[in-house]
Amino acid sequence: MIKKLMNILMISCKKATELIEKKFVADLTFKEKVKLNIHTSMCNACRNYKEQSAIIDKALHQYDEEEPHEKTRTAPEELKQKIRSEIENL
Amino acid sequence: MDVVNKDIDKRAVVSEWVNLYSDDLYNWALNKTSDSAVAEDIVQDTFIAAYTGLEKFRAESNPKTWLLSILKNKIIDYHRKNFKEMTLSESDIANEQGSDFMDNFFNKNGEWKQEAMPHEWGDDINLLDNPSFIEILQFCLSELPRLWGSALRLKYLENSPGQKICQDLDISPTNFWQILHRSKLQLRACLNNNWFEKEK
Repeated sequence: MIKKLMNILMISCKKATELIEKKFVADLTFKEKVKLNIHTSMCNACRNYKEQSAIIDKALHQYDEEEPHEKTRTAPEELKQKIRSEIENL
Repeated sequence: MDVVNKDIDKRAVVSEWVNLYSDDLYNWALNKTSDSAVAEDIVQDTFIAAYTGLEKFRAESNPKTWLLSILKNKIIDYHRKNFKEMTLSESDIANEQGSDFMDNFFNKNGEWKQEAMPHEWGDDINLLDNPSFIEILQFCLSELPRLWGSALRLKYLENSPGQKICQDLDISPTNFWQILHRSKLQLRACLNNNWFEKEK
């Protein structure tokens, strides 16, 4: 009985990482939550993956919402000239 | 003073903005598209839109803020267009780069391959403020297949719920997070190899 139940609830690492990513976009079903929790409680690698995925999520949030820090990359001078002449011709 | 006043030359206003804000806009666009040619086009389109829509600009507001709001929309449009153009059919999304892609990470039972197994990254709380790390992140983003990159950027740039993004892109939520899953696996591996493992 327990073995049968475990078979139903056991998922692969591939599936676990899929659910970890799904969580960022949609809600997991109850069954998915249980499966994922059982898996990560036993699997070190997926626990690391989950943590690291959250770090990347945070990094991307910060990166895409904030103004770039570095001011080193300037717009090419030809681009500015091109835009100015475009505007002259509008 | 109102900028739409006929006495003021619209061209002079926008030309001045080109001098003042091109670098900031370009920098922003490059950061968010990882493609200099695309960034140049977007900056140009932004100034042209600003010129033709100048009457919508309120003189009391900050020109840079106004230009950036135009620019941000253009960046999102770019990623959406990119995504739609490259989405031939739903099955192509899941199979881009084939199932071989997953073989880089997992064996046929779906277990981590030894060489791909995630190990601890340590806990550097200042990581996200480290410019060298951000540089690596930038590099890894640019290494993603175009379609995946656009999907990932849309998620963060739009800052709207996944469902809304899926509606706009006209794909199923399942397909969307399958793409995100693949993007994240690749991004994680790239960061791991170029930053976390390199430090050791």
